[in-house]
Amino acid sequence: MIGLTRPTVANRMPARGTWMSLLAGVMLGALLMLVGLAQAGRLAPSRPEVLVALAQTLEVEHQRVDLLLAQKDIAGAIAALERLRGTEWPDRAVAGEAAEQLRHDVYGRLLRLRLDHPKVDPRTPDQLAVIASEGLGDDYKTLGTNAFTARLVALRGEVSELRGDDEAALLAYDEALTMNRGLLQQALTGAAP
Amino acid sequence: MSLATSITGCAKRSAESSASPAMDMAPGDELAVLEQQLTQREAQLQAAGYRPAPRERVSRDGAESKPVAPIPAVDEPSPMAGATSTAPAPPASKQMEDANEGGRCRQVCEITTAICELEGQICGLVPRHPEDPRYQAACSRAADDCRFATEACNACT
Repeated sequence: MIGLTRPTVANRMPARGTWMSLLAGVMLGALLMLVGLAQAGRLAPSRPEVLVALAQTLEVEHQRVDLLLAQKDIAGAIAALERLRGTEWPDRAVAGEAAEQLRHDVYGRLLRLRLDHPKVDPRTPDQLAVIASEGLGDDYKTLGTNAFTARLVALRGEVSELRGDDEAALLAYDEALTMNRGLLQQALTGAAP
Repeated sequence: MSLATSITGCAKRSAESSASPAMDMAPGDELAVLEQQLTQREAQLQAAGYRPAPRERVSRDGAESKPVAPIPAVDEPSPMAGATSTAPAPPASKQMEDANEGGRCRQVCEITTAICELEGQICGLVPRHPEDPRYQAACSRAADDCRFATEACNACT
């Protein structure tokens, strides 16, 4: 029996070790995946109430901008959107990707107005480039494809053209085109944008 | 529909939040109502631990009342559309299907507009760089994209 037991135990020890390693590997993999997803903002926001509060604030502010534009008060609309630049924007881990898309929406609207009305509260092309970079943030490329980011990237291309940097403009336009191509595919296949 | 609207649409809204400025209000009154709402929203944001943008009065050119267009409505198909029609209404599921299809087509055509605008911008760079084949190549790609998207939009609508 001993002779039988020992080999059995001896055989089970490496097996247990293998299972432990496998389990540890699986757990590590799952953990890394969760961290990766959380960093990418693909998980639900950790504080959805922040996203809702932010979205509600911006919804009212967009309505106000609509009203100012209807009154032909371009300066007022630009000032309202400029003011939003001072908002403390929650990061992706807290409010999810949608919070960044909301920021891209606001900055896109601001840049569009500034480009269309260069004589109202004028900004130099370099200052416009700062607005574009500030709006996009450092890791916009890791966001899921969406129309707001695509628009802001395209606007960055326009700003690059204004600065006389056609090389950067081409890159930005091409990047925006790639995003829109992805959006079109999603729309055609019925996938969520 | 803006992203902010779609997000807030999902959230349970208090009675005051759903109250929109009356369409027959003077523009100044509408702005006052919106600013009041904004103050409330910013207080919520602050309560959630985030600093809203610093408050300052927005400078306005000419404060006198002018005729003003109503606040643009969210461009969603109205559930009441066709309600007065005498024709028998199609089943709700069919209506929903049509609405979804309409929304999808609108989306496809909006993306098409963006793609074709980009084509114009990219191809607009070509004359300034006749010696650089990358500009022409990018322009050709963009033109193909615009053509494909336009066909998709036309086929959809």
